[in-house]
Amino acid sequence: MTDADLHLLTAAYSVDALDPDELLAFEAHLATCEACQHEVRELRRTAALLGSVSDEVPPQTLRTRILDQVHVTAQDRPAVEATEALPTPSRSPRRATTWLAVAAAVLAVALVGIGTWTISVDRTNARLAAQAEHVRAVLTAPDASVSSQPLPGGGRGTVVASSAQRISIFLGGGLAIPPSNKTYELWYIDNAGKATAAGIFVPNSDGSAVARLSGLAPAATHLVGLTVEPAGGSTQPTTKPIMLVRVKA
Amino acid sequence: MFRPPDDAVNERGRLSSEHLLAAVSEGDEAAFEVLYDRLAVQVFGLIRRVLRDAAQSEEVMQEVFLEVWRSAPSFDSAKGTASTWILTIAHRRAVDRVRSAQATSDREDRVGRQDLVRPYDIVSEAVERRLEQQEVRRALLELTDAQRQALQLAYYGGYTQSQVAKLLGIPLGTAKGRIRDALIRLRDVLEVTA
Repeated sequence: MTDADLHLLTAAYSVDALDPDELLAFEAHLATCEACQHEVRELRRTAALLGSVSDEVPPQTLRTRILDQVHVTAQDRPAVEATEALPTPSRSPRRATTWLAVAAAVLAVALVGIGTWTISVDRTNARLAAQAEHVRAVLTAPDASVSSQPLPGGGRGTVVASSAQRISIFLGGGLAIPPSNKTYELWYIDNAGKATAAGIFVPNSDGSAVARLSGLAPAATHLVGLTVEPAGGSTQPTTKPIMLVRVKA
Repeated sequence: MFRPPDDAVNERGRLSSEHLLAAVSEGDEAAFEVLYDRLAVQVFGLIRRVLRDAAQSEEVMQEVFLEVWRSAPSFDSAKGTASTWILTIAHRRAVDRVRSAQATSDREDRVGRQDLVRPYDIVSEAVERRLEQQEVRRALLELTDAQRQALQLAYYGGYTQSQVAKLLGIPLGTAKGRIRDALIRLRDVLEVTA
């Protein structure tokens, strides 16, 4: 098949109508052909419009089934990211009340994020806004609890948790910047001492960090831990936690 | 079973679908719930149109939304909208199911008996509630009958180009041309841009 032939397969590809041999050839071509990538984006969008002409209300039992299953299904790439470029007013917070200042900064970011959403958004902004939205939701939750602890070297780690939402946010200040082969990792630790990875992050250059713990917090009172791990993170802690705070259910 | 509190759901209701998907990629179940409620009716409508069978459609619906949940981290809003992404997943899964579920000969009989007599008459049956749907409907009328028939067999019927050619008794090259011309014409009439 010549390149000219392959260019003509964008439409059939976009409606999933390529025969298996053509599909393989076209996908190989598509990976390197920008013109085809562009056309496929347009034609996929067109096909999706065709796909949205028939409405049918799915049964409520199906909705329940799907939401239940989502609740126990892991995502393909679970990770938390340190919020980029978050303005943190204090480099080395000394008192627990400092989290209020951090919270105010986070709220400002959240409000900007919410105010500027549009149909077509840049992915980074979308992720930032989503993260800010989480942070805001937790900080403003009526049941938000705050646990804080000094870190070795003068920094401070704070966990704000909403037990109703089962979401926890880690706020860090004065964190040492890890070498490139190391990362910080957060953990949920239940009463039996079992640790569950809750995401890795690298602090901002000023030593601040805001990270949403991934997954759901345990329903019962538990600990949140912070360790230093090899880059990429570990499935179980391999070093002694530098922070260990109790979060009440 | 744990459910996100209503407040969390209400709060997310004002986010765009792209923002919701970004939140879903961070494990936000409340955002997922809002996204499901926003798109379930059209996604299920598409799956039912391709698959017909109610029980199989429910299974595929479940597969689709679990894939949305699992692979939300790979969604890239620079490459398309959230609804396009989800409907693309739904279409592919429905088509995979229809191709594996039925023996080809069985499907050809079925098509021979009814579908070609009155191929997926979406124009007369189209739901007219939404402006977008009306526009699509109008755009479909801009196609020639031959183009519309080939595109509908491919998209709603889940047939490959060579199956479309065989079903219609036309050369493969002709079937390919009709599907391509039809979709490109729709794109132009609907003024879809990437």
